[in-house]
Amino acid sequence: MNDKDKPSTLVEEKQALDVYLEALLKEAPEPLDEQVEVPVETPMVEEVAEPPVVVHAEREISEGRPYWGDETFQALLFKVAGLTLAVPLVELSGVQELETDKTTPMPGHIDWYLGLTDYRGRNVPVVDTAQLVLPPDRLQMLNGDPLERVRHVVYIDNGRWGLGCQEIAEVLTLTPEQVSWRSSRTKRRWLAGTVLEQMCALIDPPAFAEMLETGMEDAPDMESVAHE
Amino acid sequence: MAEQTEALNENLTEWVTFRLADEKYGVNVMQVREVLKNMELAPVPGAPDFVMGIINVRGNVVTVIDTRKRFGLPSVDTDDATRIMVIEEDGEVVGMLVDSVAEVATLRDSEIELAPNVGNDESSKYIHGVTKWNDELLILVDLHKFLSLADYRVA
Repeated sequence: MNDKDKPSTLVEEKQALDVYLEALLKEAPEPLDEQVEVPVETPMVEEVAEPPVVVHAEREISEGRPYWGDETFQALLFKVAGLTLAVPLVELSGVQELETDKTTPMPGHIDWYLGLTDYRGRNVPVVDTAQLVLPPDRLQMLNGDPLERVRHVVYIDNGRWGLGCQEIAEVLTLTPEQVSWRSSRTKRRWLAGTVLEQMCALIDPPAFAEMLETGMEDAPDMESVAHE
Repeated sequence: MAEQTEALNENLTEWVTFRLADEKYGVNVMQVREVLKNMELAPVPGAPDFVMGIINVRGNVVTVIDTRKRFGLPSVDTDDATRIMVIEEDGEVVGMLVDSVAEVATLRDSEIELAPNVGNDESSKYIHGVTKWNDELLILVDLHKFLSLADYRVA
């Protein structure tokens, strides 16, 4: 058999993830930097009148580095389909194993919405995080029932949302300097930055929760993935 | 004492519960006209795929929809437990084919938890809410929204 005919290796998979993480870091700044350089002719008062998006009243969604990133902070690492994500502990509501028999799918749901599960007496929506964060080429490799893939749930936004994942890893202590923060967020607003040492993407939970609730930008097109 | 008075004053609603796959659903009893055993359906050429056909109920033609299909669930063969729930909404009479019909649940408003919005998923908009009933989750369907989203009418 020719070497070229060999199936894809794990190394290639890792490289693909590296490329993805790099792309996550690099993508946003350019267009926004251009906007920033435009001379400000309008009075200060008018700047207030142009919020970028409609924001949930209770959530503070940062545009640049979130408040918790100003000093040393701790973050929990978790894995979805080979990609490592990190959630800051100050924005983490809890973690539990996913009990599939206690998870009720909603009728006609979109693929990434796994259903409602009981978390501290509340019915909390759980999502298949992999489908929301992975690049399209890796999404194609996700086969089978997500409920068989998802083992744990990471709860954010005061326990209002559960992020399904495969594995819970360790808690890291990070200094602001260890994180490559995104200076601006036009796409993937849920991504606060990346930690190159751990090759992980650091999420901004309030922004992630807003994406789940409103279905804005990053969420896969509902019409295309909805069950017919 | 005040709590008891509040509970007494609270609005009660009754829901006919039915099963589809592993889940239990409920529709407001006021909208359920009758529940029929499964019967032979007359197919309607050109109708949407979730329209299974029509039946004759005492001289009235009723369109029967495949509720499993509308809910994105895999189809199964009908059996002795299969029922057609004849419902009336906004003057329209429609039959919903379900796996089985269970019982009537009486619920206080405070027991109903509104279902969260997930993305801009249209289908989740016809869920009125959820509640715990006999140790399982009961999904309450808003028939008004469900039928307005499903273009079930047979031309």
